[in-house]
Amino acid sequence: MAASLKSYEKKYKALEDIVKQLDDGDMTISELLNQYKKGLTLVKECAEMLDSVEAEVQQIIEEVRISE
Amino acid sequence: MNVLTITQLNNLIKRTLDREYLLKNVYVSGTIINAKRHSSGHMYFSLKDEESAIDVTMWSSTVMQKGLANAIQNGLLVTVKASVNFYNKMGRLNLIASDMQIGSKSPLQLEFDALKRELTALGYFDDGHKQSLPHMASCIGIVTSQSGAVLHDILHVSERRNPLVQFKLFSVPVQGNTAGPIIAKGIATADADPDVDLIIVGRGGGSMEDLWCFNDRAVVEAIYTANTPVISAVGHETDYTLCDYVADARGATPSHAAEMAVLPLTTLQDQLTEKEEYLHEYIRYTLQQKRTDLTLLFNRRLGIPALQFLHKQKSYLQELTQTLTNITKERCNTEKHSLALLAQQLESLNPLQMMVKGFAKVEHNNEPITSVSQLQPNDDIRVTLADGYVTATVKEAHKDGRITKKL
Repeated sequence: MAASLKSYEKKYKALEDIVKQLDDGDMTISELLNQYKKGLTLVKECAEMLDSVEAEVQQIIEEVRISE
Repeated sequence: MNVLTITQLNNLIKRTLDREYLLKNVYVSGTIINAKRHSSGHMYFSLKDEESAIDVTMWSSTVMQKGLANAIQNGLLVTVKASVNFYNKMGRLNLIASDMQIGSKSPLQLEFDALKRELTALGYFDDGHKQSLPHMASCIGIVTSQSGAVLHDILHVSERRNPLVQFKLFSVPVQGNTAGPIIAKGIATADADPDVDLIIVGRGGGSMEDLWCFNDRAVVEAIYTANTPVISAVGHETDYTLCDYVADARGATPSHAAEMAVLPLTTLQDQLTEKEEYLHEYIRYTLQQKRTDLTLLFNRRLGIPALQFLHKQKSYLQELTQTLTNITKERCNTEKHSLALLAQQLESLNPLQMMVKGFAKVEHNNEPITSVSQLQPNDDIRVTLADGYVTATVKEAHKDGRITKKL
């Protein structure tokens, strides 16, 4: 989990960088499209990571409740 | 005027009296006078108070049944239960007594009452001073006579209930003028014995005189000052001595005292089982409680904060995604806008547009004409407008208002 969390932070950072780059505005339209696609891919990966961690936490909570 | 016969009068009196139910069952108290015993066993006497008197008859059957043959004495203050009876034949009225209570008290009873009052006032019989009996006495001191039935009764009951309980006998006389202080000493000795954790002071039934030594002040004090709990079992259930009043508990009989002192072994075993079950239940309950606490702690301090953290991350991500899309769209819009402007600019340079406004394109020999100097009179020209063209012939050319060329 620690490794995946770390890679989450990396991905998130990369996403932030893309947003910043886009915000600065000095890139060609074809670059813009590429970066936008790349950004959406990162978003999808990050969201999947969060969903999987949340599911795992939820499962642990359920397990603890059952063993009461 | 109606004249009655004696018989008629007496019958009337009797009927009148018989109708009064109150007179059929009265309690009346007075002093006995003129007591006479008939050879048949019937007792005749009168009861009087300061002012009045009335004749009383008690039939021999009542005298026998109530055991009053020797009790009816002149001068005695008594209360009788009686019915009023009118004897027609002689025109006499008397009471037929069905019971009698001797009103005055014996000197011994008076002494008992006085001592009880005194010791009550001194607090000897206060409930607050009484000790509770040990739950499980292991050695019981019995203060009684070695030869009496009390010892046998107590040992018998105890043996049946719990053979493990031990006894120590503190043998004392239980009757006679000198017995009181010896009983008191026996109680003190039992109290001082380190083995003894409960004392029974006992005696079988007897008359008030027989039981008198248990009213001895020394006995009352010995029980009052004893540190060991004391059960009193003196006389029968109806006999009360001061020993009964001062003791921590009273057994109606010696057997009853033994039952109070010794719990059945099976009861003790049951109590032990009960305690054991309670203990198990308590442990189960405590563990359950701790587990619940732990779960709550986990959820509240760990589980829920973890989920909250994740939700926060998600919302950051959503925000960032929105920003990403917004910026990209914005950039596209900007580009579109620039393009549109450019297109507009281009459009404004379209020559057709000029023609719409009334300008025309002039050509001569397929060459565009941009100056009058290019043309001569009679030159054929083509003039193109927005929706078509015309051909024309140049008549004259003017440059800046001057005719430069003319046909």
